[in-house]
Amino acid sequence: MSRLYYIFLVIPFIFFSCEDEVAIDLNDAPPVLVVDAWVNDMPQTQEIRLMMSQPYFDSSQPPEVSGAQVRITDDRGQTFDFIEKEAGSYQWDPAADSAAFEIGRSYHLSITYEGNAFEADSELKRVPALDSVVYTFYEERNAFQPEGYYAQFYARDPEGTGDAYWIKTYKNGQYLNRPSDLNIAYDAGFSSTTTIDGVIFIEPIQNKATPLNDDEDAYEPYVYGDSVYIEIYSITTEAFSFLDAVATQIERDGGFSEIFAEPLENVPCNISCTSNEKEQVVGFFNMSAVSYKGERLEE
Amino acid sequence: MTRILIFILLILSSFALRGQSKYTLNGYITDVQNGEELIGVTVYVNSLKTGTVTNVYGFYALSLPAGSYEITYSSVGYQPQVKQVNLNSDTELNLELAEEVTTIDEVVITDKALDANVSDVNMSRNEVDIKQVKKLPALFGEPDIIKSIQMMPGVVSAGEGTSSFFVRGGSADQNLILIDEAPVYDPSHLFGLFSVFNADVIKDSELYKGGIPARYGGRLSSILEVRTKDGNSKEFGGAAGIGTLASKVMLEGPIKKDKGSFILSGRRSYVDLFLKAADQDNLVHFYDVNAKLNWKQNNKNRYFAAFYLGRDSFSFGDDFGFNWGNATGTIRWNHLFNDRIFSNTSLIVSNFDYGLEITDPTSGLDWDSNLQEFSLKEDLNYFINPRNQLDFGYQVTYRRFSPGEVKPNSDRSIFTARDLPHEYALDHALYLENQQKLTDRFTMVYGLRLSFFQNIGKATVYDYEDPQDNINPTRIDSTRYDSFETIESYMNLEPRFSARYMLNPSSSLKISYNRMVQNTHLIASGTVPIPFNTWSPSNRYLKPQIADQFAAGYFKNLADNKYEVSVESYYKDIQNVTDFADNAQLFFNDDLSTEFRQGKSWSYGAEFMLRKNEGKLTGFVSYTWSKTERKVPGVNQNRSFLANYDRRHVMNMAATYDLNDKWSFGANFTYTTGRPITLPAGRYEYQDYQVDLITERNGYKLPNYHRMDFSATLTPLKNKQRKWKSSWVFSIYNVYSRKNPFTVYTRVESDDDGDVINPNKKEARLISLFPILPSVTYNINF
Repeated sequence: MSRLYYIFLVIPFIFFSCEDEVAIDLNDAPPVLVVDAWVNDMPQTQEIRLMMSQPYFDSSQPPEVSGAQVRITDDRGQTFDFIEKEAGSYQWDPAADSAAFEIGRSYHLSITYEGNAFEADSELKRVPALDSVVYTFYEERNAFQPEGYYAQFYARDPEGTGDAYWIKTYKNGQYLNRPSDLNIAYDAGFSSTTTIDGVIFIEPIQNKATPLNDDEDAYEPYVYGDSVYIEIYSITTEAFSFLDAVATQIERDGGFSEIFAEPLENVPCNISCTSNEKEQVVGFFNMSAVSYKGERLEE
Repeated sequence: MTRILIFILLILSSFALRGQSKYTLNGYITDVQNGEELIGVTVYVNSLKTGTVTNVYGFYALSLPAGSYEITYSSVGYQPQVKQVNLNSDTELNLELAEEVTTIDEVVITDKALDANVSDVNMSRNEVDIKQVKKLPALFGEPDIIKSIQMMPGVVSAGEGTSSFFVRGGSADQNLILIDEAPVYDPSHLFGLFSVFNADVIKDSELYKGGIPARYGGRLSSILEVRTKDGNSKEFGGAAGIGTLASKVMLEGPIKKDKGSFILSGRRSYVDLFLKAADQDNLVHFYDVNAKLNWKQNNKNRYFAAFYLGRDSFSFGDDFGFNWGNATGTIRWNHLFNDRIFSNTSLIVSNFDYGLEITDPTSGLDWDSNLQEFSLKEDLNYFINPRNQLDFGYQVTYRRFSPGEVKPNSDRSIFTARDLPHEYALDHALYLENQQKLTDRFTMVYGLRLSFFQNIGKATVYDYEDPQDNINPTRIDSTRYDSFETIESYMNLEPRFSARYMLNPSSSLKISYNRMVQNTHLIASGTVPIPFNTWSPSNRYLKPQIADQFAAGYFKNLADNKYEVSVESYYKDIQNVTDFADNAQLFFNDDLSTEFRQGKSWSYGAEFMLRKNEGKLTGFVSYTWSKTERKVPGVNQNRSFLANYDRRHVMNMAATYDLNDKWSFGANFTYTTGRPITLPAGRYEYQDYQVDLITERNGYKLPNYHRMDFSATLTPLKNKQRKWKSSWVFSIYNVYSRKNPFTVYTRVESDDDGDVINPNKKEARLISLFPILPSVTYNINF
């Protein structure tokens, strides 16, 4: 059903605007191979997922891709074979292998599937230690920041520009994966264009340790008994550009501001089909070193 | 450069001296009521079947053999005058024309003159009659010439409520918008709801879409020239209007009767005042100030000074505020070197700036960005003989671009003070153009404009390992340039040509070709520019954009010039059209040049226009078929794509009907096919996030748009007895309240509160803006 309301967007209170769901006829994109290769140096099973993309309005589970050969090779020739354990899930267990990932090395991903070779490169970059996670009590500051305990994490970006990170937050063991939870950093700041290097992460990045509530209209402070667990993943600058583009895409406002926005674009991809230039592939290959820390809010 | 000018002048004057057996008749044509100079008045020598028109300053000159002539002065909307002239010496004849009385029966229609549609060499040109604009329905009751421009053939808009327009396949930044010769960089108020042009002070406005005269340059697709009134030089007067959204006041009058006059006008929106009264924190307002002074020393020397100042300001509580505005100033000197050489010297300044303020302990900042332009321009009209008129001149422009300066406004702010490098440019242009009447039927205009552009210091320019690598830009070298040192220069020749052939006295064929060069680029990738876009000069990494356009048309007037018909078609080709890499970072990027992608654009179309200028019912119908495509390396996988303002069919109608002295009515109707937008065609999962798969830029077309508006103007009859005249304008926008598509976007399936229902399911949403909107405006004139 349609409704008429003031839209509090670009020109609040002037615009009577109206929004309706609409059925549109899109030319479905032909399915392409999706490579979800986000590998880290933690002592746990590593997974690379292969799937096919789906038509936009198709809400079914993504079709898995089985029967591919997946291998990572490092710059001194060590190999890491990822074996298909479940349909579309290719795994490597560091406990069962003498080879290990090392910070500073570069890594090469090669996938063979239906006679085509797909390849990508990444680097395992340094990650700073996570010094501490602290809770601070605040009185109500405004409608978005009600009274309660707010968590922050402290870590210092090492000197030298070109470090990038993906910071993941878990609340009570639950990984926060909403678009608004995506937290990435370039050195200690938001982007490569404002250089903030070699210092503690800027406050908005630290503060993301406190998530928004379910309606995403205010912060949800922690209560006694809650725990927070933070992981910092080092990423390459290419992976930062990739995640930055993913963030732009999944957090797009929609609405009136679309007309001023840049056109929708595909996010970057660092994987290419080396056997056939025309064969399309999407996804990303990144190697991460991880530092982590958790803290429970006690009375 | 001045020396060259004087030299050319001398040659031309000697030319003039040799034709001494002829005498010159010249002068200014003004409106008898208020002394405003009249542009485009036909001055016709009945016995010789030849003539001229007044230039944009109301001046005309004709050189004729000695003798006695009957001369007709005529212009649309004015009573023609016939003068007997005994030409045995150079003669000055200034004339005042009276407006046509609106009682229709009394109108005298002359046999000649009002046929500019057919007889003018210029094609692809539209004038917007401000008197008609005021009678037509308007959004929120605010008459707006840009909304009228958007209804002209060959012009499309990106959507309602926007002030940008797209001419013959050109993007919005390819229009040169001039107010009293000064460029306006962003013509929008309230993000485009209104334009900066206050209808009360506008005298005349013209849009050139093709066959652009050599005196204009700098933008590829169109010139919109808006001229403001000089102010009544006969008596004091004024006007005021109270509208739904804004109010305005205008005062004008003589400084000394028939010698000098002034006009001062202000307009302000006042939604914020109501909101303040209602204790609301979110405030928004805009204002405009126009001022003009002129002094007519004598026929040989006239001086003008015109200023415009406008600003929009938004604030959201104490936390966040932003504003933007234009300021322009023009000082002009019109001078007659001799009877036949008319000179206009202008000194022009223009400033555009925007600012953003966030007051927050950790992310507080002040951000300012601005752009200044200083220009000196010398335009000369040489009325050689009735068959030749030579226009030539020179313009030099200095531009300074400051893309952004950030200052933290609290001690704990995460931002550090930064000033992005400024850019500087010098732009020279020299032009020469002759209008030559070859036979009674055939007239040509041929000209050449030489554009010499310099990107100058002070600056540091970087060399990159790969200048197009925007993900990991790697600088390998840098070069330091001093103030005014040339970094890069571009020289371009721009030929201009138009021709008109009269098939018979009421129909003609016209053709034109023009090349245009643009050295100022808008750094924006959205469909509609926002005031927070920056501009950049051509430089090492950004080449000048170049457009070539061919146009041909058939023009016919019917029933003694009551009806004007025109059919035109064009083909336009643009080289180096500026676009940007996928996922480009256009704000605060030190390596911005790595985001530039330049490519090709081409457009073609056919346009039809029927206009009725006289009688109780006046108005026009226009229809345009056009197609615009682009091909930019690195964009859309190197395949060509439709421009995001491409609309295949556009039809517009506007009509006013004067029922009697008391009531007049107006109506608009618009129908356009949808513009293309980009929507995802597939999706995939990556690390728990749903990512879009886009196969084609601008591959989806929005649904069609159509809308009808009505207006009624009531002029109470008691006005006749008093000096104080009032009128009411009632408008209804979108009469049948159609939900017109503004845009479509996609999101994860959510309920009305925006809460996600199914994270794996996507849905498309259509946004429409204005439903039926009535408004009332009360105007007074005194």
